[in-house]
Amino acid sequence: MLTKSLTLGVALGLAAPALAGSETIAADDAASQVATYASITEATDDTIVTIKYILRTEGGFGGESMEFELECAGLMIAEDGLILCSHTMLEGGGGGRSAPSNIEILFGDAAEGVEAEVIAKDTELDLTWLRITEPAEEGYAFVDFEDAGDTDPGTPIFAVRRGADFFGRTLAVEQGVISAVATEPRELAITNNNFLILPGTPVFDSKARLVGINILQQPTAEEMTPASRIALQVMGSTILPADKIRGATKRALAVEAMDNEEDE
Amino acid sequence: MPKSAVSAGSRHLRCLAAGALTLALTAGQAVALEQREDRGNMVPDAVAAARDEVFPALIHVEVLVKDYGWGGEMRYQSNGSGTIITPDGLVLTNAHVTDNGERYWVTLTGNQRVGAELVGQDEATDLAVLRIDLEELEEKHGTTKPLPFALLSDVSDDLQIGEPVLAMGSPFSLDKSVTQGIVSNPKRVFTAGAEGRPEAMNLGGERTGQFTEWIQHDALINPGNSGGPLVNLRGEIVGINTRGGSGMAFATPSAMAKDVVRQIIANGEVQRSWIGVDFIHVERTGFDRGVFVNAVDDAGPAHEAGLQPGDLVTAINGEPINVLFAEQVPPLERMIADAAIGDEMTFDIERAGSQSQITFATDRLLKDSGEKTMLREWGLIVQEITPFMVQQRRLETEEGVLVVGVTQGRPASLAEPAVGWGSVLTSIAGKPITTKADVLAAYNEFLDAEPRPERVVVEYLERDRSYVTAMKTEPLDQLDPPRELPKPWLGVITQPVIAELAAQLGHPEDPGFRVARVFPGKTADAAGLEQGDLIVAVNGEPMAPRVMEEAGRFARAIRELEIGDEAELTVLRNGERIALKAELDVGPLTIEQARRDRNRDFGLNVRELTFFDRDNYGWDDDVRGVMIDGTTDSGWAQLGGLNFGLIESIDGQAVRGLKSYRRIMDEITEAEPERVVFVVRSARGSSFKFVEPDWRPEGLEEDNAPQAAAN
Repeated sequence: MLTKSLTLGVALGLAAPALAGSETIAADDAASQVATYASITEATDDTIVTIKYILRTEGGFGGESMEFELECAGLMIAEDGLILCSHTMLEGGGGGRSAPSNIEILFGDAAEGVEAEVIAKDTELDLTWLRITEPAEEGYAFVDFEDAGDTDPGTPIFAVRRGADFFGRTLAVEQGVISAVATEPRELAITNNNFLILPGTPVFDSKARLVGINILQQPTAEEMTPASRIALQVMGSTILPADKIRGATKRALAVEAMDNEEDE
Repeated sequence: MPKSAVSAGSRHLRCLAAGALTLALTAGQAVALEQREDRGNMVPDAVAAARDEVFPALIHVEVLVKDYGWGGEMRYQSNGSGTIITPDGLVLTNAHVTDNGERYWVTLTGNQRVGAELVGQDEATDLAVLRIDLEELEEKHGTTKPLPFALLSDVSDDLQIGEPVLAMGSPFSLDKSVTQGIVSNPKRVFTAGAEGRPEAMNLGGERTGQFTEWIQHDALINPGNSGGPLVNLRGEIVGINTRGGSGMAFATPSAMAKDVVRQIIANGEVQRSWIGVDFIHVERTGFDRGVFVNAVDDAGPAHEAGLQPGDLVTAINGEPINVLFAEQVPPLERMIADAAIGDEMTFDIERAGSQSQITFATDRLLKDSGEKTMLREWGLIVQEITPFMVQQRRLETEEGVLVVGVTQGRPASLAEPAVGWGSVLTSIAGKPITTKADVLAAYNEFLDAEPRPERVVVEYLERDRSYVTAMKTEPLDQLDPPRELPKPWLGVITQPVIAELAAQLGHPEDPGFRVARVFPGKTADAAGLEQGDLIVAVNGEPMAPRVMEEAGRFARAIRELEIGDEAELTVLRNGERIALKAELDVGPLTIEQARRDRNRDFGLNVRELTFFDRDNYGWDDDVRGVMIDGTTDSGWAQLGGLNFGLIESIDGQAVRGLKSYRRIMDEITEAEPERVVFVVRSARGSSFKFVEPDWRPEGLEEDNAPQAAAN
């Protein structure tokens, strides 16, 4: 029932309860939805972190460097403090002249964080991996790629994001649906077009299993045409499926291991 | 005839012909020279004489300016003109040329370019005096004093409308230039506003021009003429060209300049009296004599003596005074300012029909604007507070220092709450701040501390509100962009051949990716791929772009494979399908991925040399170094011409990459040489760049303060 009503509601671009055929169904749906939201919130709360850092950009006014304090969302993906975020959100479009520094990971609504560093990035996939430099011995709650959600069109999905400090970093859940699975430029789950979430936002299914992460996918200059510019504007969010993230993460960890060997 | 004989004969003929030509040219040149001697009379004697009196003393001035803005320091170059006015190398120029100067150079008429130092500047009259580095002049060019110099005359007050004048200087930095004109008005006063009041302009936060009656003339001047002499036909300097535009030029009178120069040489500055009164002319006040008191400063001596706004001053020190028009205000202001500080001044005043007299001693005229300095580690630009600023900014007192700039992302801006623009710092780390010296002491104490404190508590005022905050002072991590995940790469550049184009090329069934470039020595080259090949499949997967939006599909397909994998390429070559196997190698570092270094001393950003740079410039693997990636405006690197290219060596040491570059630059910073020689390679080959760093400590407030203090 839950899946059916959510799918119908989202497919029409409206909230599910408003579409329910009778008061009883509406009440049931609403209760289920509340339960779903609650379970997703509970399951993901400790894994959604805030990355606070200073972005230094070279080549500012008069050739001087500029620094800005920024925040973006991160997702804990391993017990030992491995975090994933959007490359675009972390570094912006600095073209190699920007670098994040003094990175802190904030949990929940904590004001003070723990230090972290970037270990690798994949600009093509819009992913950056960070690691907490001195992880807590007890480890961290994390999202497990092994138990990932499906990307079948029609699947209801739930984006989880943390609000700004001004709102007490409240966890917010937003609902959408997978509208299609694109194969170009790579395999991506496309959402309904009013499901607009920031890059780096993780998306879960109704069982709180990771479906994927919203990433920014832009054509290169060579691939961009006036027609594609317009088409891009009416696209929904583009979700990189969890299994693709898992593969990329393995490569990132391999790079990290190589770097560590070099350091030694 | 043997070939060699022809050659010998030809050579002989050519020699004869050349000799004849030489004779002809010599004869022709002799005639031309004779004619040119005749043409010497083309310049009127008076103009030539005036030119020759001043020209040998004319100089071009270059100034490296350090200013503050956008929360940080900015450097740029200012250019102007000047005149040597003493045989020992004192140079008169404009204060707006030297303002905020960090380094100064002058170029004499013989093209001798040497350093100079600022003796002093006077913003009120926009005049400054530099001293040429005579030791450097002798060492570099063998020139010794006495230097040619020009006379500053007293005759500027006697100039007549229509009198011919010559403007000399370096318009647009083109040195040794002369233009001619006439005096349009020898007593020009700028007025503004509905009341037609004399207009004081602004020079670096200081009022300027308030005492000046300008010489308006029409000898063409342009940016770069500033500070250059205005000369009469007797070869006397009658003015200093200071402003201009729209065919009108304005010079500061030489008589005024002479007095200012005397004071600057004696004291390094011009000291003036102040009484705290704003006078306006009586033209629109209903009075027909005296001068009208428009406003009285509460802190001034005239106020203390009882002068009030609305009073009419009819005599000063017993001399009747009549300021009927705006043009008469600057001379009055100047007369008061020129009085010795502390001199007694008596005003006859009229108030509501009754007459009285007040007497008071003058105070010293203070600068409007306090000195600024940057506390880099805290990301703060602070300014000492003057009485004028207290009034202008409606501050409570002169105590504390005013925050006039905050660097984004640095401790002051990151503090919670943040220290903002316009705040007045009143205490740092528990120590009260009342003057700029206090803030510098607190800053130096922080810099000297081992280890440096992680937090610095700051108290500050925003108007009448008192705040406290803690700045986190940890330094920024090293700038290096995160490394990109390595991806497989074939070593080709391709273009999509969509169906429409494929049809035109005669293979409508085979769209694909045409090889536009094969990088020599890379995987595709080793696999035998050639320019013009059409790749139609990878590992059996068709590569058939439908539209241009799929231009990146082939490269993506390769990147999605694993490094070390073997890719089978189906290639259409000369109408036949062939299969090529390529072992995928790791893709080279891109320019965006290259690691970077920023040297703040030199204002120089560099990055690693990449495969794509080599390919772009045609450099082989033997070429090593670091690529210039940007320079700070008017930083040492930029001034030395280090703008682009590959740094191959520094002071004779080969730069192999970023690591050796950093080591060499560290050694140079330690050694502080007078000159650093960079060899820079560009598309046109290698060239030498000579950078002359200024290692002098910039002052206690700067980051190198501890070393400076130790020295």
